[in-house]
Amino acid sequence: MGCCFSTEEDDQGSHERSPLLPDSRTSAGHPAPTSSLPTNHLSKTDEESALNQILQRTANDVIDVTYVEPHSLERSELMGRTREYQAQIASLRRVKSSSAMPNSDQPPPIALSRELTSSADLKFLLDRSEATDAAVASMEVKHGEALVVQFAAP
Amino acid sequence: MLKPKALTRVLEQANTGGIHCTLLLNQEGSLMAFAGKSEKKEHVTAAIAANIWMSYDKNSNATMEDKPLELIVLQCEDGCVAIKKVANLLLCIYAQKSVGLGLLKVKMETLAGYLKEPLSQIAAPT
Amino acid sequence: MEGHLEHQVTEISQTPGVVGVICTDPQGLSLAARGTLKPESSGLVSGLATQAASLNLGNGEDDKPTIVVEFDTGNILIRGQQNSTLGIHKV
Repeated sequence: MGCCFSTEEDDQGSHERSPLLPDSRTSAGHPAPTSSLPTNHLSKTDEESALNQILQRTANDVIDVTYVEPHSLERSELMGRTREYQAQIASLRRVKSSSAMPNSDQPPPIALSRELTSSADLKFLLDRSEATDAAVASMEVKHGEALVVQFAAP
Repeated sequence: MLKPKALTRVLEQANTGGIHCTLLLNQEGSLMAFAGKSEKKEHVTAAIAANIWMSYDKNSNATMEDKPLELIVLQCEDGCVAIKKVANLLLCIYAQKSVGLGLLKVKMETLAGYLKEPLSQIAAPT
Repeated sequence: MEGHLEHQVTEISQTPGVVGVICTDPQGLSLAARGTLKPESSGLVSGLATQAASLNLGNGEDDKPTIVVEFDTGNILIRGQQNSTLGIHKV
């Protein structure tokens, strides 16, 4: 409001300065002191909010890698986590199969008459596993020129 | 003195079968050498990789009874990363998600094994 | 760098009857995978080989077992070696 102590007035009550139409810009219904220059006011807030947006976006994009001091764990926190992990692992170990022979519901004749794995298959597996193992072991960097040159001693 | 071209040629040997790039960086996160398709983000990758290494290295000293950190493999939503210390530098391989972690590890160890000796030669005595 | 390995695995996967191949490292991380055997099964394949080898008492570590897992839809043959474990799904 334009007059002194106007904020202490009853907002709900109508008075000589109450706007006849609800003002969409100010939520409380009080026109700002600069309301005589609505366009200026608008552009100012726009600029400010745009600047704030840019600032916010930049702040979001920045990755502060200069901060190399990691958050180090407190001893008590570490102990707590250790206990938690151990409890989890212990609970996993308790899971056991309920039956000593799971999935043994096939009639014996079917299970027993199943064809055995052929020796050709086994030989194929053996040969191939040896070949792949050799391939894994043979992975290396192809040597080109020397990486380091020494400065010639005077 | 290191030969940058020869070094890049060694690093790019790892860039097959889904590996995006291979980086060599110092422990402060500055890029020393790079091989792969440049997306102008390798400096950021290097800095983040060094920061991750430092964080794990510091905490592992306290929890792993002074056994040094050997290798970090991270599987992320959109790819995977391996980081390993070689002499006083860090080697980082950045790969797409489909790359088997075992293959990533073998490549890292092969490269690290090859680079260890030359990089130790240029490492400043501390 | 891994061309030789990829070649081996591709060759196995193209053998008649083979529908899936997987090669893992000793820690169960996938090195290469084709067909029905997905990289996610690498831990299981490697684990089976390690567990089976632990049954073999007193015969030395060099004596690696061959494991055949039988399904109605085919067999998975697994063999561990020094640096890797190979799994082949055959129908």
